[in-house]
Amino acid sequence: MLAVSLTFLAAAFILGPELLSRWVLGLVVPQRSLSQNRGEQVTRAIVWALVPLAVVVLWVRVRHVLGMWGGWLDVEVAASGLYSGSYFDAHRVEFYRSLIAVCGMAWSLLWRLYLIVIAAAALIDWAILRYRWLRNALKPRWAKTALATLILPRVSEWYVLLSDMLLPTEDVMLEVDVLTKNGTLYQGGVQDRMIAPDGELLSITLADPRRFLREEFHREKEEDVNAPTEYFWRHIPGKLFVVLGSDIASVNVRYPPRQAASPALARPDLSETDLTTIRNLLAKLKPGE
Amino acid sequence: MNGREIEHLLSLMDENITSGRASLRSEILSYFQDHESQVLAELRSAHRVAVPTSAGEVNIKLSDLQALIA
Repeated sequence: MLAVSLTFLAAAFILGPELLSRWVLGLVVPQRSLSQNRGEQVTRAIVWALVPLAVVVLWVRVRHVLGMWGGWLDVEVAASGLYSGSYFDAHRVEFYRSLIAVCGMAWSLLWRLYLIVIAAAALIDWAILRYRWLRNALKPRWAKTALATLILPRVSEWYVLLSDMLLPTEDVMLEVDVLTKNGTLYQGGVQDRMIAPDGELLSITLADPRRFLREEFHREKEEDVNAPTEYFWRHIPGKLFVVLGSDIASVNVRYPPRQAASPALARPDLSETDLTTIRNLLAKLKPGE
Repeated sequence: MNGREIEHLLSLMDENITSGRASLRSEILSYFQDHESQVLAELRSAHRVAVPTSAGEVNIKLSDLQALIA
């Protein structure tokens, strides 16, 4: 009976925080997107259990919470009663009184532990949702690395790459070039992605998809080495196009500007030579020139 | 891939975006110089010009250009 009780307590104090944190994190990042190896899972379970537990122990000691329920003697009596049938028969009244005190102490620790875990997981959820803003707000390189070390391992790298987490600014959008194993090249915005429980990419859904006419391009290239690639893209009828992960050979992630002119010709980035080029051009627009 | 590696990847992406913008800017300005008469004609007729670049066709308004040098 003592072994069963200890197993239950270990599950409640060690596995409970891990499961609870996974559930709360799953509210933001789908569980299927969480990708970790066994070592990372064990390390995370221990950290999730020990760090909040240390905080809880400090909390109840400062507030003298456990003393309201009982003391070490109650733990000894309850453990002895669970371990030995003869002790239980001889001290039945004391055993139940101590058992209630021990349950009360465990409850005092557990609800605080779970509250801290929920708060920490909610904070990480917020950091995942606001990752782009947080990363741009943090200027020192070490702070960016610390943020990435804390947050990103909880999320599949495909989710990181194919979501707006990494968009550096608001004026760019996420697009990909997808090369399939049969050599076809597709291009489009990332509308959605499906990620397996182990973090593997199952599929990408492209918005406003385009297909590259590779053979025509190569034929044109033989005649004209400067043949522009832009004329060999063809829109695929339909708004969404799904490419299965098993067909994908490589993915090129791009961040083209939403309004093409504005970021490329932003005032702070333009040199005096660039401005002179534009001034000269506009000067020739004037009547009589 | 751990967080530190991904952050390194992010830093590379930041650099790529910066260099990508510089490259796009260079393409646009080169087009202005190499196809000046065509650009002027488009700006006069439509108050905008379509510039073919490696990132697709970029439409630039005359008002945006005027705001840049204002």
